[in-house]
Amino acid sequence: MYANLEESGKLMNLIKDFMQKLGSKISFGSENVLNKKGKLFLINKKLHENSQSNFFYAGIYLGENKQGKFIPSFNLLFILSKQKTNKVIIDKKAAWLFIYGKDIFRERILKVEGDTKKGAITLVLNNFEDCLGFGEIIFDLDKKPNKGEAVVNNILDLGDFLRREK
Amino acid sequence: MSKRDFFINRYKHLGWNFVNVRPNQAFRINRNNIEPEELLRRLRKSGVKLEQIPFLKNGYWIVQSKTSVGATVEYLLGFYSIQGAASQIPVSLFTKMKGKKVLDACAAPGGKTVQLADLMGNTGLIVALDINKRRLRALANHLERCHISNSIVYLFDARQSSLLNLKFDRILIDAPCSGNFTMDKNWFNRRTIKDIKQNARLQRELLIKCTDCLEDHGEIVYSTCSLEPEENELNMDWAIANLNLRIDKIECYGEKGAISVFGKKLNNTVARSRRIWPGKTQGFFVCKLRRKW
Repeated sequence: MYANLEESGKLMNLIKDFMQKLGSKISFGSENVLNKKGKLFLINKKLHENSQSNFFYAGIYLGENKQGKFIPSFNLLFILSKQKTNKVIIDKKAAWLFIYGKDIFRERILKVEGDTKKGAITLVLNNFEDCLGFGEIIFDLDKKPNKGEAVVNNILDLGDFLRREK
Repeated sequence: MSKRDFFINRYKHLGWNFVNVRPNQAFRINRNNIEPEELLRRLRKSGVKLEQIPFLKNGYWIVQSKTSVGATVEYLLGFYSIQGAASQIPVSLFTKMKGKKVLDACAAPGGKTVQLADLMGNTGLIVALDINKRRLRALANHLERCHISNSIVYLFDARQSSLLNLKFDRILIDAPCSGNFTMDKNWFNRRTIKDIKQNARLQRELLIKCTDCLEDHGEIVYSTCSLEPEENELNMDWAIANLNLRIDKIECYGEKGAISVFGKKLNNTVARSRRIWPGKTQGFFVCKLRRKW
């Protein structure tokens, strides 16, 4: 089903790298992942048996390769949020601001799991532990930042669904 | 006679006195993603006032909301889909959905595809087709947002569905139609009998080709949001006469389908379909079909 095995191998490495950066140890069998023009889809046996290669969307969309950079889907982030990964859990106000593309301040973080160091990437969850997106830690979370200084930079948030439709 | 009066007069012949209405906004809970009580608690806490739709299991009318219900965290997490009350009815007519092979023949923008997946508990297989690429993108976003995992989507005309080489247990034909005046202020000026008849022809072609892909004991649900009998009762009368199909009895909101249309007597079983005139919901027509044995 792969259009190009070499390209698909690169894509599988991109997704693997991304998951490792988040501190995740899960992996997907490449036989269950389809590559459609740089977009990766995780499919089960039933879908595999009944699909044709000219599909537009199939199973669980995992993300895509945009100029060598892996852009995860919210499905993938959701799967990872149920596993042991880097996470920051934020309060209601910060959650609201985050889905509008804003960064996160230290005082709005309720809990941190996994890597706390500058440069790491982390999932962002609300107080119900729903995954809202992910970001990059830009100030060590175990240190006290200056007032008004963001500590997690927003990379992708759920508001993307609304922005895509515009 | 104005075009508006012409159509209003037709509705009167079918037993409905025209009223200009604005249907209430509604949503449907995606039960695969959240327990209804939990969602309702969260939304009420955010100031959203809701009223359960009496004829739907997972449907609610939005009575009042401080913010757009299409932009809440709960919406973006796929806990619910904005979907008109009447348009939630067709999928609810299918029975025993778990593990089934389902064709959603005219799927975009995907409200009913997600509803199918929710009823199926993300089991089995949905093949979703549409011929409009832009609308398929909206469908893909909808599937991603609602964590749907059992669907394959093709940019494909359902009139060619035999090329899929699959037989389906359930087929939803939410057919492209002329729509109705509640969705388009200019509807009466834009529509003519000629294009209604053209849509009716397309709908018959869809019925023919989709019936070819139906498993022997499968179910077809046919629906439109048109109020015009050419796209509804007359098509169902034609289908049972020409496609070896019969109409199933259904229990749902709406009035019996018309069996006398502008002087033409239709098969009595067409009354088993449901015609939903605009009111608290938008206008709709639904009918459930199976093969004759």
